[in-house]
Amino acid sequence: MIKKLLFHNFLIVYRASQWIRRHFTHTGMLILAGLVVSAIFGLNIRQTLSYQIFTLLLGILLMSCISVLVFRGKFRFKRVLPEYGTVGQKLEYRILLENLSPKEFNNLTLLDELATDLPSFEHFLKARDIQDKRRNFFDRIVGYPRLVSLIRKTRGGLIQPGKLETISGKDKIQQRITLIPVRRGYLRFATTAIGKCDPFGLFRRFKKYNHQDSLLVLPRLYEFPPINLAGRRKYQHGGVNLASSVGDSEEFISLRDYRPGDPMRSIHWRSYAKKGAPVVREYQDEYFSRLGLVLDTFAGGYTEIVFEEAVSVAASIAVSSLQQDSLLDLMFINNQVYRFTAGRGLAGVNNMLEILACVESAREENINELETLLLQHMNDSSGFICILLAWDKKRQNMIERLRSAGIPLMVYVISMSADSDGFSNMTLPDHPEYFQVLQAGDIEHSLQETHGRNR
Amino acid sequence: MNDMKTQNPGSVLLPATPPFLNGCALLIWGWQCDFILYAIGMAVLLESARFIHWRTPITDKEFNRISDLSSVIFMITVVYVFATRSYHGIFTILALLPFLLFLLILAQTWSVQGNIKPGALFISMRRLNPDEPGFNNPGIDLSFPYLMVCIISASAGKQQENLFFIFVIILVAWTLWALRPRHTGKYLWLSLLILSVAISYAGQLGLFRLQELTENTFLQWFEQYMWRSRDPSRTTTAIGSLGKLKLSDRIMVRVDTHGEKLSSPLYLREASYNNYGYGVWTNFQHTLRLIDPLPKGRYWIINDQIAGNDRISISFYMDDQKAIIPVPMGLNSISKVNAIEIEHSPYGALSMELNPGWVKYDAKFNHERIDDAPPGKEELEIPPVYQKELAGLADQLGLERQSPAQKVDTVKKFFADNFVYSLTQTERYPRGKYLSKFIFETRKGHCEYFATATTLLLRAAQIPTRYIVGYAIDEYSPLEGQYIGRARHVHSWVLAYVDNHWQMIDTTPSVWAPLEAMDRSFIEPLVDLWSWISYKLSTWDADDTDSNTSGFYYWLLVPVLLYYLWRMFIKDRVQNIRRRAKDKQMAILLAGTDSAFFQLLPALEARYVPRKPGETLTSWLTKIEKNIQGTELRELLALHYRYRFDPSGLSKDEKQRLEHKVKDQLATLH
Repeated sequence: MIKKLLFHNFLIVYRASQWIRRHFTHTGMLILAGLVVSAIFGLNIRQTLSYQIFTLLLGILLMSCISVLVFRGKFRFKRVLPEYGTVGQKLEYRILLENLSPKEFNNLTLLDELATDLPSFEHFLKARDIQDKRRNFFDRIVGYPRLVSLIRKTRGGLIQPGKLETISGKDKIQQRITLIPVRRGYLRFATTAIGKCDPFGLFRRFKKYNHQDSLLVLPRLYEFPPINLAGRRKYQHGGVNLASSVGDSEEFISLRDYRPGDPMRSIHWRSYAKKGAPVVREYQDEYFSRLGLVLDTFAGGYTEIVFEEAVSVAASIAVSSLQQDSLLDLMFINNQVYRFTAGRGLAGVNNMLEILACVESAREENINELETLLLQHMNDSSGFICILLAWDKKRQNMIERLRSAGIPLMVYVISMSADSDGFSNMTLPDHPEYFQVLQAGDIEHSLQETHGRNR
Repeated sequence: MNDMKTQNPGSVLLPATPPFLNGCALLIWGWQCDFILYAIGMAVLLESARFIHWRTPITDKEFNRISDLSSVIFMITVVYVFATRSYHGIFTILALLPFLLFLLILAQTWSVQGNIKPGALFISMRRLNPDEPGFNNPGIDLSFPYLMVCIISASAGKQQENLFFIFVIILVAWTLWALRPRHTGKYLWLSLLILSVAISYAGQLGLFRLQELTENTFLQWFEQYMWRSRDPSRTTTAIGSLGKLKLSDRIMVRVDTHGEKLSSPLYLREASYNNYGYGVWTNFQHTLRLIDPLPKGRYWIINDQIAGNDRISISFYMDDQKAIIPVPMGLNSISKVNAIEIEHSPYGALSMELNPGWVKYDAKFNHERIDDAPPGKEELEIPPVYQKELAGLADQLGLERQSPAQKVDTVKKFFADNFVYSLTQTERYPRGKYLSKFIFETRKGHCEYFATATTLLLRAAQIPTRYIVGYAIDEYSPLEGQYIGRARHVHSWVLAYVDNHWQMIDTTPSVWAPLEAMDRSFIEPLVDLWSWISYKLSTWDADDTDSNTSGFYYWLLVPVLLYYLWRMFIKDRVQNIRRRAKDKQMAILLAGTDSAFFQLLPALEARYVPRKPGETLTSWLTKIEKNIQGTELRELLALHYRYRFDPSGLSKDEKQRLEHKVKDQLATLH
């Protein structure tokens, strides 16, 4: 009850703070802070002279607001976005701004805004923030910083307002905007606003324009060491193209007589006509290395942070593994089975990152289905790289079954804690280096540690 | 797009202050708060950085430590000030803020970086991971915030308010000019500033009025609902308040003199104060000492050096379990009260612990023998702003050459001859000049003005004095048969140490009580009656077995008896009358419902067309009379209507005629 009340108050405070940040310049905020403090100390006008400061600052702020009441500019915008962004990496884009009126404008501010969906109470309760462990007890319990962080995550990034000194009448200018995405997936640009600042430089009045766009942000990438699984090349029926389940242009070897069971489509009709007996085409068998990148999507009781880190690890492995001459199957389950193949002229690393940018965690447990999927593709895969969100009994059994089937495995378990004691019953005793625990929020450090230990 | 000009994203950091702005702010703060020497030193330390280019590298961690040190100093100051001055020390802390934050701004000014990270100010931000995407950690230049701190701190000072306002305008205008956006027109900027100042001035006038209204409303409300016991370490006077001082008629104290008439007002003291400053009297030396009751119980000797010749019984409303109670001057003992604890201050205040509510106690006293703690240096202290003027006045009255007793007489005469009593103040004075205006110009005010001015003037004549607050009891209530003290009887007077004895001096003109009584409400007698009943009810189960008022409760049986008498004899009669009246009303409503005409209706309906709901008899008859030859239905209906609705009704003959004709018609129909 109290939490719910606090949550609703937080939303009000958040909206108010956003309004203040948007409408007041830094100087304006300084004056506003002075106004609040002087109001507190000036309550009793017989005690201090703060009331004089209060009235003066109030008068100034009032005049600031009044002086920008009228803003008759007309503008047109065009946003020029890059193809992708990456979480945590600064990206720059441009906004082309056209002044449609003949009047010159000074002291303008350009504010490009991402759509901000405020979280529900349930979402807020479930949300965990990686920065929480660094916060003090009060902040952790009360949760306002967590809420702000959650909203920032949902929004996807923060765009600082850009200053435009002057734009002449009927002129066009372009403004470079910097954005650091904080989450993967699509960022939705909602509005572009142009603000006019008052002569004191305290308050801005905005004209908002609906200006929707979207930008795909790829998962955050870590520098991953090459993974050398002790696997071998496997026969791929139908060759590379069939590996991706598309097309039928196989490599031709020779013609031979029809044997019962040969598919109809293999019959070489011209030779059949010439010979009077069915003749079929024979193809070259394909052997090559084909790795399965298995992403566990059932976060369950575990937090979203772990899942996000798992996606980043999957993306990082995809980037590092696809540089090798092999195929990579990204496999995961979320309501249905997904298997995407990349490498050797098929889909590129970008396609795989796009998929990973949009993958979502599963709500229902799917470890058994995942196990079935892996066992199904065991024969045509050289090995599996499994990224697991936990190390519970079901996952242990799955890994044990795959291991006993003799397929090379590399298992990464993403964990919230750095403590690896809970993983003592690991099931890869013969190859301990193929089992790694990566700490969410500190993946790079975990990787460095493991790499150093293995060397 | 080739002709497009590219602009870079602008910097959004707060810049450093322009040269000498912070220095000037520090000087104004120093002037206002009497720290001018320190302020000069601090200003030189900050502003010299503009001419010396040496800087020292200070890491973020070192900034954190400097900030922590400032916080520790701040906390120690807060604890110390609150321990010594209670919550009133908040304004002292406000005045000290530029000192407390100086280390931080000094470090920033002389550092290579020239700004500090937010983590230095907010510990919670220190541990956040700066590598986290979206983590924003810009540096903060503290010079403008420090400037704002200096301006607000300066407002806690005591110099002239008009000059201070001008200085504030200059500093704020300087700040705004320095931070104004490029391309801002000078004239537009200036005119907006002038308008802002005008609004500010108008706002100040509005605030004065608002404060006046709020104070009066709050005072009334406070007295009405939230009356709290006296704080022996501090009392805020209404000196400097504008408008008319309104005090309520609520009865606060009852004094039973056991049949003796008072020839002069009886002064009941609550507390004594020795230190004055800006409308507030304080006494930080006051301590309460526990008094043990005599073995026989319910008897506390407060001062056995005083022979208690006079005895009174006081009833006082204790709002809390422990409160300061009003007692006569020259108190010898307290008795006949089941107090848990009684504490006494050498300055005369008496604290009692008992269940909240009305409490009655006996006091023995001798008001000519006041044996309070001897005076110290505080009893001769005059606030610096009044020293010169009061010394001049003492000189003018020739007090220096007079003996202490003569000095007292001269001062009494001075006030009696030159001053008038008034509850209204219309003019607003400069801060710190309220008393000067009272003494030298307006010469009218209420008891707090008189007592404060007398206290300070006698001090100027080297007579130690204390300011006393309590009740002046003068009003006799015939209803209660005892004296009563209302909220408006709260009074202040002076205790002067003359010839090694404390002597009570009241320079307030004696018209004060009648003048204040003129404002009393017209419903005061009713309120007093209610107050008396409440008082008696609340002391029903009081421990004062001595009370001779138990007979009073028999009177409470009177209403009960009256109620039963009413039930037994009058209620039934009243109810019968009411019932008859009701019956009469019903009779009017039902008049004519026994008309014989109604007997005809079923037969007519059965024979012809049934009458529709809501259909009038006339329209129904019009429909059916075509089929009826030679009937007298119309005539019967007219008679029926007359019988039903005509107030004069039908005559006996007419009624008989109606009945006969109805019978005839029925016979015809059958």
